[in-house]
Amino acid sequence: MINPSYAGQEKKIRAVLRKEGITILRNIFDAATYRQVQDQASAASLEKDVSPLTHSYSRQERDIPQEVFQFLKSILPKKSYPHSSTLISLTWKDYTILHDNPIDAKEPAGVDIILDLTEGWREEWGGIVTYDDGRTTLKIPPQGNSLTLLRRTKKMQRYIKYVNHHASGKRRRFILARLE
Amino acid sequence: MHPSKLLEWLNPKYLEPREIKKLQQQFLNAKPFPHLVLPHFFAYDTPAKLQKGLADEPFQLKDSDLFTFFQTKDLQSSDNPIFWTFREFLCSPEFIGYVSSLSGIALKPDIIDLAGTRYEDTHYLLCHDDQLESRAIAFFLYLSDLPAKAGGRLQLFGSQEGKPATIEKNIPPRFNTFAFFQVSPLSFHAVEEVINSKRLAISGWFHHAEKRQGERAQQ
Repeated sequence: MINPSYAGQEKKIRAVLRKEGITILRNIFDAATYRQVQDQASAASLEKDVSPLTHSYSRQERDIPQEVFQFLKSILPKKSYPHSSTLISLTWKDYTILHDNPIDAKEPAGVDIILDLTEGWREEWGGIVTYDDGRTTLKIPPQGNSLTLLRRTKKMQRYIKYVNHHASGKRRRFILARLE
Repeated sequence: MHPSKLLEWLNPKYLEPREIKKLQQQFLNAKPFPHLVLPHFFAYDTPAKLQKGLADEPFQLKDSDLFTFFQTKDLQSSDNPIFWTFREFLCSPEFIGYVSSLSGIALKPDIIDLAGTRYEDTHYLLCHDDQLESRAIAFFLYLSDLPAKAGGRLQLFGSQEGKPATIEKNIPPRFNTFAFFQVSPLSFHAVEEVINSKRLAISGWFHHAEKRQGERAQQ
């Protein structure tokens, strides 16, 4: 289940998101739920998807974890919710480039959701989800069991920085979804 | 062709008529797209002087979704005379005529882009085609030797239906190797990630003699 410390904080979270454009909720799940979600992600049967000009990663479309779905609805009740999201798995040599690739394609304005499922990932290894609006870049710091909500404008495009050799043998996993 | 100026700079082997004829065919028939790789290209101590010159040149980090590496400004603006004379030679009618002859592509003298690049550990350049404005030929002079385990190879992609497919050729950096390829909608290439090493090069583009229509901008 969702970490009980977030119960009753919906209004505050919504206010931060409105003001700052981003909010990162750490330790979003309790330990047992997080382990369960991680295990499901590790066991998932992923499809390797490579198109050298735009991306290289493994992915699977799947339902948003029910606990997350309900939690998001309590924070942003007016948003339109897809029931599906994309599980992304990255290893050495994976990346996406600013382009209309399947997961980063130019989309209408909305709220991006990133559920990070990786422990111990270091930023210097790459694999960082980065937003670029043509003037500034915003990197989402990697942290397992965190839920990032980001208000995405039309100008903002997203990419995932190339994963370098220091991450060889390791995997970065997170779930991406979008609310309109 | 005016061999006297070329003889001052180049390995004489590359000026023999039989060798030129062989290279012209090699370029035309090269896969996955027209290119040449010429080891021991420059004569005398030119590459050593260029390598030494780059050590004193300011580099800036270039970092984006597509790449991470260090690059100098265009060497046209360098304070170091070695780069002025090198650039002068590269865009001289003699050398432009030589590269035109090898490639079969009419090139514009006096116009080149030229910069030093330095890739360090984890640095890379992902797949792209180099197409921009009047670029005709992309060229590279490698000023490092990297063993296979250090990466840094220039990777040439085959294509299917106009999109890059798999890597069909890997060109390892070797000191004083001059490589160049024809820029086209199918000239997909990348620089492999460098692993625990440094890869130094001077690279740039020759331009078409005639302004071409319908060329799309690179991403």
